[in-house]
Amino acid sequence: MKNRLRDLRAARGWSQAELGSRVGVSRQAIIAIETGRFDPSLPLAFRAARLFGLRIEEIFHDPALDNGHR
Amino acid sequence: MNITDQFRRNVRGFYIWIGATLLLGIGPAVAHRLIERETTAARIAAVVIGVGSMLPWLWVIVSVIRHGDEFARRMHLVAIAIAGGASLVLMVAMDWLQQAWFIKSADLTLMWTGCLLLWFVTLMATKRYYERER
Repeated sequence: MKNRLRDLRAARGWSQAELGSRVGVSRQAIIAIETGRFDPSLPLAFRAARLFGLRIEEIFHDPALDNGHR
Repeated sequence: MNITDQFRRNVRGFYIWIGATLLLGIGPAVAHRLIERETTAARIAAVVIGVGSMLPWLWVIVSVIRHGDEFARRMHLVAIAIAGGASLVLMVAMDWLQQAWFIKSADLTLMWTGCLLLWFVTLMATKRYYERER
């Protein structure tokens, strides 16, 4: 799962730790999500979406959909 | 929870972890000393201390997993799964080495310290895997 978390965070000038505390997870969790190695749970994805005022699919993106896989 | 509270909690957790790790290291040394006395009471105490010194460390790990977020839980789950499999391979290897007369007897102390080391290595490797850019 790809995501725009790093760009959105950088645009607001937040550190990874700060974003983590805003959505209730550790800095390590934010690092793992930003690297694309760890997909967040739905509750966490919703919290991030609420925080940035966006919809989940505007932050998280499934590359498989681009290749026509469903 | 704000960053300061989280930092304080992490620092406290770190000190508890250091204390538990020290106990894990000191416990077996004390137990060995007690075994040398050769009395039944000392030997019982050695077993209790030897096993007991491990429990605070395990409690810390359980506590970290319980209070951790979803990522911490995933990381520990993956690390424990890999370490469990690797530990099984280690035990099977020791068993076959013994059965094939390459070693006289399986050294249990070597095995449990090996399992602990494997656990630590897999935890570090898992952490590194998740932090690496895809």
